[in-house]
Amino acid sequence: MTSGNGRVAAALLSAALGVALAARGDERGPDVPPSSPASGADDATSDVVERIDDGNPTTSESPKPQVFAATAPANEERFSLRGFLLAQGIAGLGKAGDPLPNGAPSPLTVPYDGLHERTQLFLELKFARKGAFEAVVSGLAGYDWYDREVQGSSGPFDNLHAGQSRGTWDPQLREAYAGVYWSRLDLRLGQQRLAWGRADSRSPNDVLNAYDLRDPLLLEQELTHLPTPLARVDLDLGAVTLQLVGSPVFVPDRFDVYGSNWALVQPGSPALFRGLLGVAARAVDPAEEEALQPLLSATTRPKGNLTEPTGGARLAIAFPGVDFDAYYHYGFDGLPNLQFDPRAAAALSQVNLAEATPGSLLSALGQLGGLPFTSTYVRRHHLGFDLQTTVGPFALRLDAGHDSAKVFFNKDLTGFVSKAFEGVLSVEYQTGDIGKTIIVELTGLHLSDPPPTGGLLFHKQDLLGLAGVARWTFADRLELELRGEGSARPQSFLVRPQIALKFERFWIKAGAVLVAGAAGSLGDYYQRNDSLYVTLKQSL
Amino acid sequence: MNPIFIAALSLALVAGSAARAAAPAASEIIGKVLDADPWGLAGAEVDARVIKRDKRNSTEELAFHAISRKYAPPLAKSLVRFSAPADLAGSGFLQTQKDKGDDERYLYLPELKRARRIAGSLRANAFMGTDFSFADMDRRDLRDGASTVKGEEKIGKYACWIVETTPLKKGDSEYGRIVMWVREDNFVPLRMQMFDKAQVLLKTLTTEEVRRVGGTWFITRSKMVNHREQHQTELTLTKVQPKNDVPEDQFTVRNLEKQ
Repeated sequence: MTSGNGRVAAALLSAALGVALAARGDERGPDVPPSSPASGADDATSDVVERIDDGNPTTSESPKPQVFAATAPANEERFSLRGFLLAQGIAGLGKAGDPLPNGAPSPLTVPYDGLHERTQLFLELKFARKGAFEAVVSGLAGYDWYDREVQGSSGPFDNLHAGQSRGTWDPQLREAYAGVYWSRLDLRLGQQRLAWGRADSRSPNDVLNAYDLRDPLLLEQELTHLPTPLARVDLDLGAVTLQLVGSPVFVPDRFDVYGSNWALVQPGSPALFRGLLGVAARAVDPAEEEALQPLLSATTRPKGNLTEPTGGARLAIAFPGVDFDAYYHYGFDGLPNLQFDPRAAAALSQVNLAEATPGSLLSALGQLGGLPFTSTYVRRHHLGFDLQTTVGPFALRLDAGHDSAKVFFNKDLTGFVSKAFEGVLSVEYQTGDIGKTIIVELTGLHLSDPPPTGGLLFHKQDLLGLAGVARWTFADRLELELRGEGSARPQSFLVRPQIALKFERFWIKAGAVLVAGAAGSLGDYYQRNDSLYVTLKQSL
Repeated sequence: MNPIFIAALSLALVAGSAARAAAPAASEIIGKVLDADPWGLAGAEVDARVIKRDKRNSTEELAFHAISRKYAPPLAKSLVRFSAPADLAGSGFLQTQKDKGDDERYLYLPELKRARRIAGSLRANAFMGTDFSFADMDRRDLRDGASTVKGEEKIGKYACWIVETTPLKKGDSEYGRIVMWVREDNFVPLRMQMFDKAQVLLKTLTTEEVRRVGGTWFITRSKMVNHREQHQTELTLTKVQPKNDVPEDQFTVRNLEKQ
């Protein structure tokens, strides 16, 4: 090539390369945009921001960026606060029982609250140091006001504000624990809610925390269990996680024995209990009845001095597409085993309970030298497992558990202890939106020991039931929900249809509680608890 | 004509056409988009704010913190923790993408204190009520689809390849096809149009702001318009840290349940 021709060729080659590079659109590689405002001076790693203008309007709100960094700050700390403020009004549709023929209140007539106003403030504060430490404390400040129906009222709303009213405070320290986390090991100490099992309604494996049974259908889901002092260790072994739990203190299920609409003693209870507790309740101001409940529900509790500890383990295995958990727990059943002194029954049979006074009862029972009943908690071993998987849009869950001793109530309210098998098969139709879901659960219970001749309250030796919730949200604002549980033999149902409107953080909910059933069933026992309610809830 | 000139001109033309032909294959573009991960869903730590806006212009806001990690590129694991709205605060979402079979997903709700497995087949459903579906987040349609380059077009001042992807697993996808405008200089999609199986435009995702942080480009402001529902969702990343070293044990149910 001559030098002249070489220069021409070189120029043309350069031109050709220029065309090629222009066709590619960028001669500096993919990391550096040619039109970036900062690209003239930066390298491929310096930070650049570009706004894309394609002629369409951009979003109306664009928060200012806070942090854009290539490296994370060490020891990031976060505080978070969540909770709710709730006000709920419940109007009972049932009737108070009849007074004595002379119009005086009858101690055999179980009280009935026609109005109940519930106010709750729940707060949870969490502090977390990134991945290594967490401290959680939550609490509930609750106040309940009740208006007790006058005996002999003719129906719902017949005696609004004409009965006895009472108010009770319900402060609760919910969770209070600290957690220290390592790569493969977690340690949490303190009062915690630890959910075992998968079922939505009531898992047979959910044995670590006590239940709050004072209102089975209207308590917020977060408040249906009582956190328990626990030491919890989680050991990550890859696809297997071993969890160990232990507690020095036993916390029993919380329920009212007498005086509230969901108390154990109802109009269908034996006259002996109704009369005894009715007379005793007369001796105290209604506002003090709440203080009596722990005494009535437990005369002897397991010691909290480490001599009667509880503990257990959970083994969780994550198979592809399937989660499996196995459980063992050595602890106490949450319900008390109530036994009535036969001498007291004999003594009280000589008393006309309808006209008894505290004095006459004390006189009749005085020779016993103690309380006429004992209420204790039984030790039990719990073994169980659960499975969960998904098939199409459905989540399938199976919970099964066996208790070496479980407490049930005889119809005379004394305790019946039996080995028991429980299972829950759950099918959930999922949409990916927690506001749109349908869960149906088939529940089963088998008692190893046949119930006594008189039969059990609510239960038979074999009991099949259904539970579930159907929730559907329309236009992000309107939510319809039907929640309930029931059984076929004996026929029984408790259902709660609800309609709710959501405004940002604020909910208005209205609904009904409907309870019915055949004789001897749960629905029959609490049949007068049909009610209407309105709930206002502000998320914080 | 001077033979040298003819030769040089021919060389120039060949070089030019070679340069045009050098536009990557569609699969390569898709691969680079997925590898670049401008959404911050596979190797980043992000804080995000989401505004849902309905046809009455009423809004609802979500906020979340998310970490992610590629574990078998382009497959990734991600964990999302919500801080707003108030009734969702503390909830968490864990996703592990699977090459074969449904992705594994868990949802943790603090009031239940337990994580629940979420059906991996729910790809068409809205993620937490936004206009982003699970399919928009798992990018399976792009990973497993058949793609072709349909041409080039500028969006604003940025040259883009137009890439059309047809999901291969018809029963698995809500979309009949996806058309994506990918910036040629950094493989960031500036626009995505999602068509349903009747070829009706269902959604449009528009990139409004991009940022390069530590050498990685992120879409820091975008808007998804759901034409059928007349909804839109505005997504803003308020914080981005490209991270390739989020520990594997962060993407476990055990960690999801740590509130």
